[in-house]
Amino acid sequence: MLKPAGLWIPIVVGSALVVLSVIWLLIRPAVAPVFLLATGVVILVPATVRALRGGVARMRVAVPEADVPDTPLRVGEQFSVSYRQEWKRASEVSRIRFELVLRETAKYTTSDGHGGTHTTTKMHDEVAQDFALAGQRFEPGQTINETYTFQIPANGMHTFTGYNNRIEWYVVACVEMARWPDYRWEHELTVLPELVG
Amino acid sequence: MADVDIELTLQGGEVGDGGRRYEPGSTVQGWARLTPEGTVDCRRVVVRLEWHTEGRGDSDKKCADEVELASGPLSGPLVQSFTLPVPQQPWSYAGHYIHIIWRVLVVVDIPFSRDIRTEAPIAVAPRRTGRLPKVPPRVTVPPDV
Repeated sequence: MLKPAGLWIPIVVGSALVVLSVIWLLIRPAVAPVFLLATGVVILVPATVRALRGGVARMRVAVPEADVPDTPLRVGEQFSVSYRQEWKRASEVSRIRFELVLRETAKYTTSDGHGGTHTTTKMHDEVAQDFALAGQRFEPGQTINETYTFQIPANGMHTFTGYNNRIEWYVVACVEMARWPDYRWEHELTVLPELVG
Repeated sequence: MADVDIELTLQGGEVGDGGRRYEPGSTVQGWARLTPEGTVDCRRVVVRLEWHTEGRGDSDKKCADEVELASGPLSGPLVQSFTLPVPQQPWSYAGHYIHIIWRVLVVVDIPFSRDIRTEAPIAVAPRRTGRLPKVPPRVTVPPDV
């Protein structure tokens, strides 16, 4: 679950690998550039598909305007999120979800047995609280304007940033459109190691 | 091979189902009794308060504080009390991919050999008693268009 900005890294790395391996193959055909090419394709294709899906979703809806807490929160603290979004094109929306999510990100490195290493990142989202808007058809120019009150759970965890492990809080809005990719918006919250009250 | 019997006793905090819990910003107090077999050539004996992560990711760890209990060879029983300040974070945590584990560790630093160590796990978290604030319920509302 990469953020849109994070998709550029695999796209650039994958493209570079593909270009370099193709040049290498043209100059001196061998097995090594074929493996390099395969690696580049494996990195490039999924990231490109995800970027395109996000772009397609953005053709239907405008970038949202959201009022979110701009100061750090404490564990147990309530806060409000206001979310406004306009439709650019007529769309059948099956559901709109608003979620408070605790995200764990864990990074680990394994050896490939040939002196190299491979780093993998795993993410797990725990939905602490959610609201859902029922589906309906939206016409161009139509907007939603929603305000919800969330609360960092009183038995929850604060934001934690280690080198290999991170615990983060996000407010997420997800517009699920029939026959179209979902539109997803995320905003990170900073939660201090303090209890409210 | 050098051998030292180490007894680590913690005081303070609050003992509950999950072990001994300390408030962030409080102190861990305790004492260590070390009984060497003969004379043990060690550099020093330290007690550490540290945390590390366990789970899916590679481990992150940090020593929050360290106190030297003795230095030089151990030739007889040693009883030493200590006080370690507990930092404000991170709190102990048990999640899906990530666990944050705190412990108090007594380490006998032996030159050119494996250190002798004893540890006691603790929890670092604020007290969360009383009536917890009610989380607003899940609702489904029609769109406001």
